Amino acid sequence: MISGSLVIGTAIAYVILLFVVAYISDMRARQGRWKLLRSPLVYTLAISVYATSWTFYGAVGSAARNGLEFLAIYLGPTLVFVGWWFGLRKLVRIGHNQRITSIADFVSSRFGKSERLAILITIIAVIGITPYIALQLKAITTSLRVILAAAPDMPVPQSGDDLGLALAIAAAMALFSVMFGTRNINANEQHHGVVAAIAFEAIVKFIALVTVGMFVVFGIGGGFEATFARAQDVGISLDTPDNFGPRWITITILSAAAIICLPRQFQTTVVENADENHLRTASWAFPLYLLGMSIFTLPIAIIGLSYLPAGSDPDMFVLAIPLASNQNALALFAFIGGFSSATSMIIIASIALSIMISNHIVVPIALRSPKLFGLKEGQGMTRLLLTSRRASIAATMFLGFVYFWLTSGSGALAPIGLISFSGVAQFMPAILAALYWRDATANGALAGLLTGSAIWAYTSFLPSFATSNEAIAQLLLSGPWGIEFLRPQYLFGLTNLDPLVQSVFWSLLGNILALVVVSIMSENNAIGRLQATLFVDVFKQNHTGQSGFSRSSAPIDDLFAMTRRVLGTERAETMFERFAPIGQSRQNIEPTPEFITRLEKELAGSIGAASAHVLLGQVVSGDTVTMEEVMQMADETQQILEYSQMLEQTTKELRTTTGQLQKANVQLRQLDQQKDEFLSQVSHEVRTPMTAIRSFAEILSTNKDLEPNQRQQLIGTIHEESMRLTGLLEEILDLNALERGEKLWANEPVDPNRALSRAIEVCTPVTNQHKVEVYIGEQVKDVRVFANFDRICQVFINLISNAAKYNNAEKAMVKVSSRIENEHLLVEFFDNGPGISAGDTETIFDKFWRGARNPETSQSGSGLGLAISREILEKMNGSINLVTPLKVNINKNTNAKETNAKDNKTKDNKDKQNSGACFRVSLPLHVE
Amino acid sequence: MKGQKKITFLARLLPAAGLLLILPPMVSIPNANPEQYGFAAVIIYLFSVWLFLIFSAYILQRKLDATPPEISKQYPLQPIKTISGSSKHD
Repeated sequence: MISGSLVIGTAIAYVILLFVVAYISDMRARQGRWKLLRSPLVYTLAISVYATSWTFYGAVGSAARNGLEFLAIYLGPTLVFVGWWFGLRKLVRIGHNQRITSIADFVSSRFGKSERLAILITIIAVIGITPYIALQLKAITTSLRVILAAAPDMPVPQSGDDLGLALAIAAAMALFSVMFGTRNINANEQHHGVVAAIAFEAIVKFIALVTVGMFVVFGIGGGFEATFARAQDVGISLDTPDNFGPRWITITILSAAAIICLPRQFQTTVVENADENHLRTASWAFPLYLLGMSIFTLPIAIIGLSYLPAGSDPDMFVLAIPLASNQNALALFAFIGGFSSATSMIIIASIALSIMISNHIVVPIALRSPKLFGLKEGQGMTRLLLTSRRASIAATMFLGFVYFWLTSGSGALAPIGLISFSGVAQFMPAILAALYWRDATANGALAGLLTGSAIWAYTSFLPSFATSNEAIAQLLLSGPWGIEFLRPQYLFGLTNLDPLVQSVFWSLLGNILALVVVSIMSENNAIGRLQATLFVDVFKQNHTGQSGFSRSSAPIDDLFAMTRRVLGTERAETMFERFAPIGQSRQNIEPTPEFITRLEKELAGSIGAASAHVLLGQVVSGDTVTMEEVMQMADETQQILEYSQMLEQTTKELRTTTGQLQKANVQLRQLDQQKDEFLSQVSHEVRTPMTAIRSFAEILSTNKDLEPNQRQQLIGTIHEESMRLTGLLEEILDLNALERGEKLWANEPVDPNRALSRAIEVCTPVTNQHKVEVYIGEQVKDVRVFANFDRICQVFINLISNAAKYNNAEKAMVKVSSRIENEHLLVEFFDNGPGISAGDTETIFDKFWRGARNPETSQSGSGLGLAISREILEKMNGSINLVTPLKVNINKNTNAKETNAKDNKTKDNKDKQNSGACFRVSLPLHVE
Repeated sequence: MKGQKKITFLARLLPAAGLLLILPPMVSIPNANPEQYGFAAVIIYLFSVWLFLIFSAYILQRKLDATPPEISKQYPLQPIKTISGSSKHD
């Protein structure tokens, strides 16, 4: 027989023992004796808080009802831990770097320190964990009832009294957690005493369960083989195909998510982690612990079903079998084991939740309205934090009790736990995005969490109240407003699929879709981008240790290093030297506020105000983000700047090239047009004499009776015209050859005066015909130019005959003079003809140009003469220009040198009738 | 692949291999032939996979380069203030 007072007394003694463990540990921590406290073993045992009374009692119940399903609860975490190198290591590294205090802090930190996100996660966590705490209350209550039922000195609590018992237990647990978890506020939320106590509890529950297991298997069952042999008799089926269906997969995924997302697991794994290398031990030791806790689960279930009377609660087999075998000490030990697994969960979970509630809900409100909380200026927040945490713990416990009450304590332990699991699993997409997806945004995470938790609340949380609430039961049965299509547990009419599987599938699908879609549509702010880099690239950051970093001397060098990365060495040096004391180096600069402000402005010019502010804020205050991380930011910014400069350069080059191409295109089109014009001009020029020849030839052939002199005249005209035609064609060929660059002659020393005399002589018939007198003005004697005699004659003849042909002055005259300038002989041809208008000074050298069509001047020229002359002179390194149209006074025999251009123009305008023209031929002198 | 690179690759591979082994169809193999392997075959299979994962994790963590202490350790900060609260131990 077991004594009720012994049971209660042992439980109280056990709690006191926990306090002693916690107290000693805290003392050792304060004395700096960390060795055992911060050992991988304690760390691993603390993580084992995963095994709660759900594991201790519930797993057996689950095995009795659903066979192997309970194993999935432990295989998921096993996969996460043996894969620690990929995921957990990153999580822990970030937790260290960012001084993360909770899972809400982690997610909000990553997404630009979003307050809304932190609040949302806190709320989801509180709601999600409520069933879990209720599960522990239910386990303690039921186990207490079972063990006390065997005690004659205690009134056996009727099942209806469970509520009062649960309330008492909840109150005791709240007090217990408050005393444990909120004795002090640590800067990084590490609770060494609590962790030590939890580790101690992990050992107790492990030994208790294994002891019971050994007794059951070897004491009653007669070994594993004999025990398993009974399985089929008691109806536990292991070989049905349903065993490893969708539910198996779903629970594996859920438990893998839960080992990270449960606030208490995040607390023990990430926040309480003292050394990243402890994960190495935990990676194999924690799965081993879980394996040890699971080995006896199925045997206990099998023996319980065959050994205990039918209708016994399988959730209590662990306790009931020793009791039924009259092993009172073992039963008491089993009770303490179950008690310890429940208390450890409640302590850590309520501490983790209270940190979240006070940090993310109470403090932000308190900071906005300090009066509401009696905060005075300058007063620290410590007392407020402690108070709010204590209140939060009490509230969390109370919520757990309310859930227990509302769900009437019905149902098995495992399904309640799975509701919690699927609730906190909603954090998983956001956490994965935080770790691996740089472009995930705060809005995306917010949308995902809202969508996922809403679907979870509808499909999983709400149905758990069905047993006590008529309306909810009705809703489950016939759907909202009678729409069966939307029944919470069987959405979209999928009645064949397990409700848990559906709930998890739809909520995570909605969660992930919302996260991805909204992230794609929105953008991170500056802090969000900074944090994204710090999270996603946490392993790429080069930590050289911030511990050996002396605040008093280091900042100015840090500031300089950062500035150099943003502005470049030269600008940074100039900038810093301006602030250095005269005659001293930049190490002596005091980082005064003025200097910082100035620096921020300089940086803002390069990388924008927001980034500069963030960068400097981090260097100057030195928290959250280490110097190395800021450096990396600066480097990235610099890379972006360089890249955009490169782009700009390329764009500029492209624009230039495009411009050149366009220009070339325009030139090509002009050339093409000139070619067309030339062809049409040539055809026109050729047609005129051809027409004459043809028509005269027709007259000759049709009119046989023409007079001989008439006939002779026609033949003469035909001959004349064909000569002109030949001349024209020769000139075109000549010009063409010249333009193609063919040099048809050899240059030699030539006497220009002889060439001029020859030209005048040749032109005599023309000048006589037009009654033009040719004068020779001042002439350079005994000079040689390097040219070709015949070609010079050709140019001179062309100029003189032009001057003669187009001169309509009363006393028409042409005057030729020459002089030396810049090693060139300049030969100038003046006339007193009609002159050439200013607009034509260049076009006269074009092909087929004939000046203003003057009726008096016949079309005796081909219009190619000047063009040919220019080509010839260019081949001799000389030139021909129309100097200016200017009035030439030949009568006074003045030395008609060119006067200045302005003068000439006015004269030209005044006396357009007879302004005259002056062509200047420049020929290179022959130097011997 | 050589040395540390190979080890980190295996460390990443391990959870994937574990997942493959505990999901159908792999996990259904012992179940599908009960007369051949006996009733407890699937239990033995799952616990063997589990032990294999634990053993592999143990071997791998010994071979993986340790994180240097200046990065891996979170130095304990002093409590801001210890307030004597409701606990009698304070």
